[in-house]
Amino acid sequence: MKRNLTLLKAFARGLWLTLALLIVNAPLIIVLLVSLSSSPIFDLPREGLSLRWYAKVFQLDSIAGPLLTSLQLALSATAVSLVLGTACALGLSRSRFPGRDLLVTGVLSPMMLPGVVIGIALLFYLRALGITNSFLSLFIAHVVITLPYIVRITLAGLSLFDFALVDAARTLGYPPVKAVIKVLVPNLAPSFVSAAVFAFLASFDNYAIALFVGDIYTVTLPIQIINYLSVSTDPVVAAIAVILLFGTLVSLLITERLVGLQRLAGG
Amino acid sequence: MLDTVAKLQGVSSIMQPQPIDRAGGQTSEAFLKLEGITRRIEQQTILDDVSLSVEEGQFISLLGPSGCGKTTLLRVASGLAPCDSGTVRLAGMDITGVPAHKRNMGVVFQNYALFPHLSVAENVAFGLKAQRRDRAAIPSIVAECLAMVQLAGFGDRRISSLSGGQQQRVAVARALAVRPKLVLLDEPFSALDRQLREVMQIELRRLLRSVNMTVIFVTHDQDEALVMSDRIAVMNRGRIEDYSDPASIYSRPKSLFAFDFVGLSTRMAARVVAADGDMLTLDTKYGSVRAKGRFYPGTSVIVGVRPESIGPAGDKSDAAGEDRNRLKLWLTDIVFQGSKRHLHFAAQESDRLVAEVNSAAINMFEPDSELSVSWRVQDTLVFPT
Ligand SMILES: Nc1ncnc2c1ncn2[C@@H]1O[C@H](COP(=O)(O)OP(=O)(O)OP(=O)(O)O)[C@@H](O)[C@H]1O
Ligand SMILES: [Mg+2]
Repeated sequence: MKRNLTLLKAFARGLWLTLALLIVNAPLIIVLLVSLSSSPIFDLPREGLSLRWYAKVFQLDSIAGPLLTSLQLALSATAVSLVLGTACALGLSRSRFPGRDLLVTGVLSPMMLPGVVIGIALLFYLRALGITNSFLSLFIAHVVITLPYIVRITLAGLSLFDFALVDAARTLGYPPVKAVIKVLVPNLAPSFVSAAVFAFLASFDNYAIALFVGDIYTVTLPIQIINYLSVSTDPVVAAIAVILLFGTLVSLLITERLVGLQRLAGG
Repeated sequence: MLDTVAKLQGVSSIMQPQPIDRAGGQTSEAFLKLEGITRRIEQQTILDDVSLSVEEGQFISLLGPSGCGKTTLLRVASGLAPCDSGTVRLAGMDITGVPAHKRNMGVVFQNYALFPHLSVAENVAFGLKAQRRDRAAIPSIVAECLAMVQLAGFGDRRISSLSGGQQQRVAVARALAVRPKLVLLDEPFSALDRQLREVMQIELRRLLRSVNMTVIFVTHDQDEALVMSDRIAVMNRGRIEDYSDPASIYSRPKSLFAFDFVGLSTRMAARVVAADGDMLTLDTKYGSVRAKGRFYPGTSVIVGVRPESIGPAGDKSDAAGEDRNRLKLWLTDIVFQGSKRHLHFAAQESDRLVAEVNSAAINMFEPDSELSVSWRVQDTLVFPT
């Protein structure tokens, strides 16, 4: 009797979890179904399945260009943020000065502020600086939005790092900068990997800021997808979404393998 | 045991300190010389005019309570921290401004600071690589150093898989592998349990002696300092209060702090009532005692006596013809200490009255009774308050 009850409880819990997962992931499932539809309009596959929209993605020039732009932006912004953000996190974790907490909040704020606010602010700021090249503008904007991810995750990693290791490397014969590179970099590698993944993803799917800072010559993928949707109703965007989804999943899985999910989430 | 000694002697050839350039003819100068080292952090004086000379091959302990500046002094000596004033001289050369990576000093850190991402062997090889030693020679040096600390065959292990004592040995091997001119150890045993600690103390001292290494050893444990050192520097609040060999530190401490810190002892507040040359007559709450020292009559002082100097009056050490102090005290407690027992007597205010007796003689004493004790006048120490 009691045993049946526990079994029932376990069953109820399983059902509940499955339902929750289904509801949370329903949009993704629908997008996947739409992308496989053979119908020429954005709809669930009623007449049959096909892979033609995936083929079309790779034939569309209007997608390839923005995809390249987005990749370039995400890669370069992540790389630069990784260097700047690590230096920033090192400075913040190694010193105590008045206004330090304010500075931390300031650096992390792009993560919390609405994209529209940052977009407008950057638009005026870059114009005041006289920067008109739209790729450069976008690059600066993407550094601003990726930096907080790097700083935050690296700060968390540094809080667990024993700086006596750097001292040890120095007494063993490495000059200060080399000692940091020799000891800090391998020990913080997991933080760097997860920081880079989050920064890359934040840059790659950024829409709001690119809307303000970009122009018609430099279009990022998210913007182009919206543009495409406004002129065409075929399921190509669904196919793009699924491709991006799988790209993200694969990169998360790889980093999870490399550094463990816990470090990925908490830094 | 013999095997270990042979092993130590076997490797000592590669571990000899590098020849020292004594250019300038300053052969009389100490090997390591700290002069007037002062360090301030945010208006707080962490090191206050510290001077310390260490001869080559000597084993020196820095002994002092937590927060007195021991680690800071080591960091200044090793070049990891700057000093606001003062000079550091090594083998006759001023190295005050020389950065840590060019000083070639082996440092064993307070919690070892082993590299968790490297294996045991890679940890030991780390300094050799930094010094761009011949790559082909590194594995054999690493193996020798690991054998020296009895960790032969542990090279491939992860640091996290080692016990505290083993990690401590890896830290020593890593520091010695680069053939440092000097080794600095910051409380290397503080994380070990007492038994292992005592074994490691003897072992480490023998190892470092066998390679004729000059050593500065930081500890806050007085027994450890007494066991291991040629000389002990007693530190208190950023100053060195006493610097002498263990026997002198114990029997003739130069300051009340050094007296109190090294060993639980009898101490009594007293007043100088007469001074005849260097013979003082002092009034305590328990009676009058005499001691050698130079104080003006009327001065308030502290009288100190080591517990083993004090014995029951009339026993065989209380021989005739010796100049002795005698007091009648009220025995309150007898505390078992293994081969010895401590007798505690009723004391007033901040005084403390302790005598040490052999456990064999214990039946002679009864708690809550009066006991006459005596000790030699020459064992009576007097400190300004
Ligand atoms: N970077 C620093 N900033 C501020 N104060 C410091 C710093 N380093 C040391 N101190 C202070 O200097 C004093 C001496 O510190 P130090 O680490 O040298 O003590 P210690 O004798 O090694 O103590 P322990 O036995 O606990 O290791 C302490 O009061 C400490 O608070
Ligand atoms: Mg310390």
